[in-house]
Amino acid sequence: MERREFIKRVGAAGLAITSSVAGAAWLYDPRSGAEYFRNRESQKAKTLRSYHVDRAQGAVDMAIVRGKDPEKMMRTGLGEMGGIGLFIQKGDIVVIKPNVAFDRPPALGATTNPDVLKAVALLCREAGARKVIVADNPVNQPEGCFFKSGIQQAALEAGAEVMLPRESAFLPVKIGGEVLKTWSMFYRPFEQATKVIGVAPCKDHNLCSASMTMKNWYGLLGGRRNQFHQQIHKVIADFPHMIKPTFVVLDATRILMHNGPTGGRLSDVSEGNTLVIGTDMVAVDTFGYTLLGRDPDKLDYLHLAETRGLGSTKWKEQNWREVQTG
Amino acid sequence: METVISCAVLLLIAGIGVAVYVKGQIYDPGLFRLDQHTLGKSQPAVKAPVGPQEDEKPVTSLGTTAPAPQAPSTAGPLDALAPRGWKTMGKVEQFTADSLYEKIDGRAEQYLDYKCVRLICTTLVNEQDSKQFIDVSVFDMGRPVQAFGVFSVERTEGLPAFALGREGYRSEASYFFWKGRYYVQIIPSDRGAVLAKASLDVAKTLEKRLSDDGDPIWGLTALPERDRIPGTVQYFVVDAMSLDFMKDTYIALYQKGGAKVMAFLSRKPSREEAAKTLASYESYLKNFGKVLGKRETDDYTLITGNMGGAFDAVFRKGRLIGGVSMVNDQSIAEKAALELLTALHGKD
Repeated sequence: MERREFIKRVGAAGLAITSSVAGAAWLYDPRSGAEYFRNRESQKAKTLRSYHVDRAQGAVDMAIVRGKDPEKMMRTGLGEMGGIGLFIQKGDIVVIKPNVAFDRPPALGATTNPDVLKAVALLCREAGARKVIVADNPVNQPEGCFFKSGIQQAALEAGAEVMLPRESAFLPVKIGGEVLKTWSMFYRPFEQATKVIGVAPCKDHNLCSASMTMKNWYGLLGGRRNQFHQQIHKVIADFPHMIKPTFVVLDATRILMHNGPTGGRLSDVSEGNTLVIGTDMVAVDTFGYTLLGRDPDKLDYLHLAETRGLGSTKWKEQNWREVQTG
Repeated sequence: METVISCAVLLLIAGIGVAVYVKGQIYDPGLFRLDQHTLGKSQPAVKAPVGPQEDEKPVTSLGTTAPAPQAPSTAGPLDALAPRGWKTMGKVEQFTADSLYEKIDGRAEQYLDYKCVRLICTTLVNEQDSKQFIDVSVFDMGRPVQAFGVFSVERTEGLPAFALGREGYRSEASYFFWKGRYYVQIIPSDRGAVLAKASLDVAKTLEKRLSDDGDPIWGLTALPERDRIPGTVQYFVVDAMSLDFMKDTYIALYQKGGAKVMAFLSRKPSREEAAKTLASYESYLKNFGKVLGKRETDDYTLITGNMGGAFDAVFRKGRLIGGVSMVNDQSIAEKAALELLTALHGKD
């Protein structure tokens, strides 16, 4: 081999080696695979906008309504708070998130009372909402849950669409909580939503003591969400980070007093005949816990959320009303 | 030849580059990993997902029945269970301890405390009225004591007993019972005579199909029957009376004169374990109340405490830890504890 040829080949080899090393150094990432993908997911993650509605100072923040007719109760309660028109405007796309977690009949109190859901959906339609979507990501098979709970029928009778969870409907969402930073969520219903209303039953829960309006949003999580059961109070306190709803309804028309969250005995259900409508989930749940005959001072997730400035347990210091319907 | 080899090497490098890129886009540590177990063995075919393949559009029409649940399973005792005029909705579902939460979510933790092995469940629907349905769940708890345990902690006080299995009760049209290692729930969609009759038919049919090895439940025989309020015995594997040191404990209510007294009893694996538990109880009394007295004999140790106006009296006798809790009157508490102690002669 001639010297020139040798130098050429060595030079080319050296260039190849140097480029490879430089390329590898440039591509090198010290993070673990899980960390890398978590970071990437986080960058792709959506953020839910705030669905909160600003109202005039002095507006009623919470209405406690007693009665037996859910539609009448909703109208009366929202009337005390300024009327549905203050929250829902013509052309709004409203997502209503009930609790349809289990394939249980409505009488057992494990899911949202379909009559309450229907009332909320009807009022939204009356206020001029362009579309009302009812959505949840149940624990059990979605079709069975929506059917057996009566929610499907109630939604359709009120002119709402039922959106069932499909794999493609889940996206990572930035939550920014203490435990939940970014997590897969049933996002599709919220893509075009301009208003969001949570409608949650008031029920016993064997892990966190009570499932009410804050816990209701757990039902939007995807993936292996049961892994959070060991930190359930912290996770529940993360939900007001994730979502700022237009308002929430605590459905205490029936109250599952024992053996929650699934229930199973009519004897565990008491007639609560109450709806609590409010813009502060912490306040609503603080009052709601007393309907279970329990002391809100002992419910950890309320105080965690309050400490983080996500609401107040001192509902009596807020502007609230209690009314009785016929 | 040199050219061919060079091209092959270049293609190999390009292939490696593509593989690196692909792996970098998908978080799957198992991608490209060779599973040693697949070598040289025939593997069962991967099961295709069952259930209807739904399209993406929202539901806009009223459905009449719910579609099939996710996984096929052995129907076992739930096979052909529907009474005349009823039919099975979808397929029988089966869940193991690992997947139990997929059916009962947070409630699974309680069942796992009691070592649930498996849940099989199905729904029966009225052929004349699809809004009437009955959910049937059979929990295989592994052992009779575990079946009794979960049955007892879910039972609401005051519900009428019903002769099903070893013990059962009725709540409106719902039936609950345990038999052998099985705990059964029959839950209809609502009240009413039609549902009540169908639920009862299902309960009786199912009860006949389930086996029972006859293993006795120690606590049910050890706790004295005299003055015991029927249907109040409960078995806690953990956190009896919300005390973390009280494991494997039976609780029952007794009528002592005009007062209801809660008695508890636990048999520990050894005297040392029992002594440790008693020490924990004593610390609890000291920390949250006041110890009023401690009596030690060759046979037993008895400690009485005042928990802010309600009285606890706890004893250790051999391997047994027992006593009464939250009794309004100190003398009633002490008397009831001593009666229990006397009745336990020979049961440790």
